[in-house]
Amino acid sequence: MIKKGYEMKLNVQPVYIGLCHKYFFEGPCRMAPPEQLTPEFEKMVQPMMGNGALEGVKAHLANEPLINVMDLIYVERDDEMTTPEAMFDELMKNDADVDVYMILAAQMLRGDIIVELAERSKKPIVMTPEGCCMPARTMSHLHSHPGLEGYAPLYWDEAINLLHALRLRKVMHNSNLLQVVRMGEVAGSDITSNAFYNQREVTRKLGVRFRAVNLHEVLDQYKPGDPMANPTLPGREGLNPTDEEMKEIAKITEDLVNGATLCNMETDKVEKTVRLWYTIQKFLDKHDCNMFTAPCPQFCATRRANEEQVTFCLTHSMNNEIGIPSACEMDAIAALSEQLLISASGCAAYMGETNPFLYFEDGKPTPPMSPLTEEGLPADDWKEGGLENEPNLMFTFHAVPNRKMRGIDKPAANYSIQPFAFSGWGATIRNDFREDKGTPITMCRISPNCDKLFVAKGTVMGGAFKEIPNCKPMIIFQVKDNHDFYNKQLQVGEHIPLVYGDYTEILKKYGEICGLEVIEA
Amino acid sequence: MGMKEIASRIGEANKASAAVLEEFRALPEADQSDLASVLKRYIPGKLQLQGEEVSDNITIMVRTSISKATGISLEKLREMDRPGACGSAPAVLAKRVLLFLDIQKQLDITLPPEKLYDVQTIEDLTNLAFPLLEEKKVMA
Repeated sequence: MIKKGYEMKLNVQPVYIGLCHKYFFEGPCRMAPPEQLTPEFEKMVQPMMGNGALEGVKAHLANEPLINVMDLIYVERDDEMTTPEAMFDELMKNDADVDVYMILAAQMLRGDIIVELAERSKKPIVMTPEGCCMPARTMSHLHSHPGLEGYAPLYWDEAINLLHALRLRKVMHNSNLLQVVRMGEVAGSDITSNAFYNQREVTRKLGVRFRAVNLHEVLDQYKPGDPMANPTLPGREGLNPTDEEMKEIAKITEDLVNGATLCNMETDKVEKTVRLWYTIQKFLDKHDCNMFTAPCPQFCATRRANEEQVTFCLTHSMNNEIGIPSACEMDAIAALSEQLLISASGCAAYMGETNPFLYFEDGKPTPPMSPLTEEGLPADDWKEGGLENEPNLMFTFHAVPNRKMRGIDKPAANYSIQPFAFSGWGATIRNDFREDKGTPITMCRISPNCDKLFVAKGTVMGGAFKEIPNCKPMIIFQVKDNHDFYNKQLQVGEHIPLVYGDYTEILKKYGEICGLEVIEA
Repeated sequence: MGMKEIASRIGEANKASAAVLEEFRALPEADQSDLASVLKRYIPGKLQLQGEEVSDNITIMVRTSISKATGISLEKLREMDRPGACGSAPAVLAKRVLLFLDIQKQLDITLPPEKLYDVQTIEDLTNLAFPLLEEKKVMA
């Protein structure tokens, strides 16, 4: 089963602890007009205060469909100040489904209950913001207990970012990455230097789990035919597409080709690439994975890409379009980083080699690469829209754009289909990033030893080389300081995934709660 | 307005309101519409509201009453009405509860606290209170 991160909800259990005195009296800690000091008044007012606070929470979270506010749990303490077990039975009656306990309008004489709730449940405690007056006394105690987690944001916008960060942590704890391997790609520094140094350490820190399937086994099973007769798995049933599935693949291919503004490929060659994506869906489902990566150079070197006439580019594009983070070049780090971006934004991610334009004496941007591997290709494509005078430009290139960068649930963007290979095979989707000029973007990447999180923002300025084969299509964007971006990027890696929109505050908070050093550019 | 005058006005309003409930208690076979009609007179009287200040919504009437008494505009009151420093109830909620306690006492019934947050209108209150009055009759 594929559990998509961008659809996962954070279950927030609101709790109100009422204080109902058993007797009428006024004292140093009990101050109110006399008619408000009766047990009858408190018995009536406390549940109403709980409901009032809940209404406030729901109003603030009304536009946050992924933050699920559960039914209120109301418990009472009296001025005997006992701590009955039954109170915790009630407080934790939904514990199996709870991700976060939200304490509504907490006041004095409740702090010990809140700390004990955190101890018993091992779940984070969040106190509602913009209230008065005693969150620090409870939080300071909670933070003094090793391993307990509590938050008391001052304002609601902070609280909402915090809840989304906690949601991202839940997503990562429920994420499994499927890695197609040929050599030792998953262990330490791999040939393309995109791997985590220690995947077990990543599991310990972020909760993500890693699964692997063999490249040659995948390529055998991508072919229709007898599922018991795959050369790498003789006599074992494979996931080869059935006749029915081949019809579905043909339909998906037809729709993909017909929807494109331009298709520079023969349909049967597009179909082969769609078939690989389709087969990967079956592998993801079989292995309960919701993220994907596959090797490029290691795959290329087998010569099977050339023989089978496929690349994984379209698989990455189409995976991302449906909310499955998918990264080129066996880049597990990029896949996990994409999971954060997609789940925070609800938009499909794009990833690739991220580099700054160079600026010399004339102050004009100079691309540090050229697409001129074949005569007649447009070297100055990138300048369109007056970019030759813009400061702090950067670009990210790979042949994995997709149609859902404006939102997975939004209409598809215009696209064309181009072959990856100059000889016409390996379908890839190409966007015209110039259509999205001015759109803010968020980028992030975890460091190889999983101790840092790079978070950056930028603005789409244009795009280039969308009709050129190979890895060339690129998005061009502007950042605050591209030299600073580059220096900080050196700590995390080359592929910096991005999504449309500004989600930097959520990502920074996520890094903070996971103990990652946040590097911001 | 001096303190004496304020006290006198409150006293008179309470008397007038009590008289309204007395009428209701005197009815031999009061039905739900009789209770609604009485509460429509009793609550504005108790809150010293008149004319356009009277509404079917209890919370709005309570807020209007506090606004009148304090001279704080309705808009400002909505913004500043929060729980007190040591957890005491916001002003509108406290007054609403005091009103419910008063009605509870006058009618000699016990309103269920867990249902009172949703009681916003006189109709809501009537729907909650009338079955309790009927139940009391049966018990007697």
